[in-house]
Formats: sequence, structure tokens, C-alpha cells
Amino acid sequence: MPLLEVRDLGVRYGSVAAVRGVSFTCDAGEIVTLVGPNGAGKTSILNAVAGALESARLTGDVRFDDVPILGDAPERIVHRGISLVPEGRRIFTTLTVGENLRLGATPHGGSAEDMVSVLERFPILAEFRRRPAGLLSGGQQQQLALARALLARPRVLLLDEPSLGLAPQVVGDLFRAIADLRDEGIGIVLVEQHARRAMKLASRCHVMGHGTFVQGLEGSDVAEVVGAYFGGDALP
Amino acid sequence: MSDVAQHLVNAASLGSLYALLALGIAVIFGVGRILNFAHGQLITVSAYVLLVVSGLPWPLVVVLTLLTGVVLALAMERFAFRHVRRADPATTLIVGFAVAALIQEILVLSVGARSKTVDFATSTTLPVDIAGISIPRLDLVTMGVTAVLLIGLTLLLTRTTVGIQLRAASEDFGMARLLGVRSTRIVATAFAISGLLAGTAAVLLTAKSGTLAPEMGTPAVLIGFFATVIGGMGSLPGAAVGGFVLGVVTVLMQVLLPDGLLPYRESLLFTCVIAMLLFRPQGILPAATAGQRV
Ligand SMILES: Nc1ncnc2c1ncn2[C@@H]1O[C@H](COP(=O)(O)OP(=O)(O)OP(=O)(O)O)[C@@H](O)[C@H]1O
Ligand SMILES: [Mg+2]
Repeated sequence: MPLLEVRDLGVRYGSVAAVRGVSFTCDAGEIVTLVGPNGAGKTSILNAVAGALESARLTGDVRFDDVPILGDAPERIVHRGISLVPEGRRIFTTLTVGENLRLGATPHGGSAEDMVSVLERFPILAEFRRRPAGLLSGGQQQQLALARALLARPRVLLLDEPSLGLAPQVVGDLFRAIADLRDEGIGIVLVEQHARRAMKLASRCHVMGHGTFVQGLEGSDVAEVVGAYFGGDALP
Repeated sequence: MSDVAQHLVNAASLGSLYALLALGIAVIFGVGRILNFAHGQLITVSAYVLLVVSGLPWPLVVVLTLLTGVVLALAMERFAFRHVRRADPATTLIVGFAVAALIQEILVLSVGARSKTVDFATSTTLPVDIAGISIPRLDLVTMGVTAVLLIGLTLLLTRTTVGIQLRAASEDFGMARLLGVRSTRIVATAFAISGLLAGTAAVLLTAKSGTLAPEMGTPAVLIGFFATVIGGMGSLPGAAVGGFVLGVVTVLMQVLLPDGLLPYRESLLFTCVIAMLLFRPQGILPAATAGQRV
């Protein structure tokens, strides 16, 4: 039984069916990536799983630890162990970096050890702890968004285009951090435009067309499709 | 010279009162995006409870009045606004009107439409002499209470977990929920704070005027709305500043306008508010939310 199981998920906005019949699973300690063009429905899928969409828009079944969660309130879902780092990061710009982190720890009340280990992972945040988070650079804000999500002690992380707007050097750091989290046993669903890099980390990759998966790839196929979809170049 | 000092004290005192009215409205607007028109009725009902219990020792009277504000605010949230949480702003505004009208009618039916006098804290209208200026004690009390509430609110919002959650929810409610902030609890907390502020305003207003009437909350809530608009919708520091500015401008008009124009004082004030909406719709200290969502 997989940790997170999405079965036949559908998302509607009014008369528009943004997602149709999407199914995938994510286990502890693996990275599953979703790639696809703009408007394919990637964000809608992550938002649906995290509880950010009204339940009336949703159809299908999502199970976490075999418990149905689709349509639950977002605060309940994060308490269960699924954290979303949303599109656009959505850090609280008027709050300090420290306050943003403290909010991340809401589900468990926040232990000092958790905070120390997160600040060790992202030392820049310790340095800027008292600054308004809105003053951080884009890359620093992304670190804050990730750190904030980790403080909830998630078992599954949903990452929506975490590399957006980051310099190539920083993107490398970010992907290393994501690989580390996977190695620590967190299940990760990763939506990425940097498809090659994302696929390189992934144990499974789902390619989306408009609203549905058009291809699913496992293990070594993932590397193969990089060539098929993104030209013959070797992975960077 | 002492005249000027007197006017300054007046302005600061009225500004303090208006700041309390504005904060009561802003704290709910910030978190719930609800313009609670029934805030005025929180004040009115609290004031009538004060009238009923005014024979008791004054600390008890104050506690019971504040408690009324808090309990009634929580009831409004639970039985009215919670059911329209996902509705658009127009719907919640209409719910606010309905709640206000309902309470107003119940009040008129139960206590009558005529105003009543209250014998509460009458000694506070006596002046004390400070540095040659005679200041009504109530003005000092009003300023002191406002200062304490502002400091208390600031500490709550910056030092406590629930305060940080309130500020986060004001900036991005959906994200706060995604981090585990319980939406019903946080909205109820905002209503409780608003009720506490309404109860405080009820105590100060009744002590000031010595009379109550079922419609006393309506001008109070209008002033609160205007002050939040001036200060910047959704921003708590903005609301406090907006209230002060409105109080100061009101006193200035009283002092400076020629007698012939005095009757138009309110219209002039409202014109200022409209001008403000036209030329600086974001207010003096705007909230940070607008345009932040990527
Ligand atoms: N709140 C909404 N109301 C109406 N339509 C929406 C809403 N959110 C998304 N959509 C539509 O649903 C479809 C899928 O959007 P979604 O944001 O999930 O795509 P995406 O794959 O994340 O795209 P991108 O790569 O640009 O982030 C799009 O056609 C979009 O216009
Ligand atoms: Mg997207």
C-alpha cells in the first residue's frame, strides 16, 4: 500500500475540467515528478491533494496511509503529514523570517530541535531571522518556503515549481536539498519546468497533456524519455 | 495657550476612541475579509448591559460589559458569519446588515426606542488640573485605556502564537490554513478581540455621554469604517492611525470652522473621506496583501 495514492482525480473550475482521470502514487523516500505545458493542470493536482480547493470542485479518491483525504480542510491535511510548497511560494512578506518558520511548526507546536536542524540546513535563514520575509531575495524566499514546510514534519512534500526564477547555481543547490530530503525518507511530488533535472532525480515521471497524464515512466525509462522529449543531449 | 492644550487633549481623546472603533472593524476585516456592519450593535448591546448592571461595583460593571461584547461577537461569528465564510464580500456585508437590523429591532422591542440616562462613572467627567490645564478625567482614562489596549494588542500580535497566526491569516488566509492554522479558531479569535474593543468603546461612550439609545452604535460603526478606509483597509496600524486622524480632524473642524459652517461639519468630514478614497484608495498605511499573491 503506497503512502500517497491518487486515484482517478478530477478538478473542475465551473464548466472547465482542468484535470481528468489522473492517478499516481508516491511512497516514502521517492520522488515522483509531474511535467507538462502551462495550463496542463499540475498546480491543480497539488492543490487538490493539499486541500486548497473547495471539495465541490473535486472528484476521485486520494488516500494517505490508506485514509481518504480528498476534500478535507487544508489544516487537517497538513496535520496528517502532507505539506505543500505552493506555486509562487506565498511566504508571509509582512512577517519576519522567524515568524514564518514558527508558523510552519503549527501542526506540532514546534520543537527547538526541529528549528535548529532546519536552520542548520538553511543557514541564511538563521542570519536573517528578524528581517521581514518580504526583503529576502527570490532564492532566499524559496529556502524559507521549503524550511517552513519542513517544520510541519511532513511525510509527503508537494513542491510546485520550486526552481522558478532561481539562478542556475541556486537551482543546483535546491535540487541537492530535494534529493537529501528524499534520502531522509520523505515522499516528494515534484512539479518542475526544469524537466531534465527533475527527471534525473525521479523514480517515476508523469508527463501531462491537457488535464490528463499522456505518459508515465518508471526507472530507467525516465532517463530515456529525456532524450525523446528534450533532444538527444545527455543530462547536465 | 491653555486653549490650544485643551483642544489637543480633546483631539487625542476623541482620536483614541475612534481608534478603538476602527480597530474593532479592522481586525475582522483583516482576517475574515468581513465588513462587520453589526459592530455598532455590539457596542449598543454592551452599553445596555452596562445600564442593567450599573448598580454593581464599577470593576464588575466594566468586566460584565466587556464580556457582553466578547460573547455577542462570538455568537455573531458562530451563528451568522461562519455560514457565509466562502461567500463573496457582498453576501457577508448583507449578513452584517441583517444581524445589525435584527439586534436593533430586538433592542427597540425590549427596551424601547427612547434614550435612557445612565448613572455610571459620573465622577470621571470632573476635571483634574495638570500643569494649569483642566482636563476631564474621562479624557485621561480614554487615552490611557487606548494606550494599554494598543500595547496589549501589539504584544499579542507579535509575541504569541495566536497573534502571529492572526497576522499571517490577514496576509494570506489560504496559506495560513495550508500550514495548519485552524480557520474557525482564528476567525473566532478575531471576533473575540473585536468584541472586547466594542465593549471597551461602550464603557467609554456611555461614561462620556451619560445616555444610551438603541441607535447609538450606528454613528460609531460609520466612524470606524471611515477610519479604517482612511488608514488602509485590513491594516491594523493603519486603522489606529486612521481613527486618530479622524478624531483630530473632527476636533480641528469644531475649533477652526466659522460658526456658519459648523452645521456642515459632518458633511465636510465625509467629503474628506471620499476625497481620500479617490486620491489614495490604499489609505495612509496600506495592508501588504494587495498584489502580493504571485
Ligand atoms: N481558480 C481557477 N479558476 C478557473 N480556472 C482555473 C483556476 N485555476 C486554474 N484554472 C485553469 O485550470 C487549468 C490548469 O491550471 P493549473 O494552474 O493547474 O496548470 P499548471 O499545469 O500548473 O500550469 P503552469 O505550468 O502554468 O503553472 C488552466 O487552464 C487554468 O486556466
Ligand atoms: Mg502551475
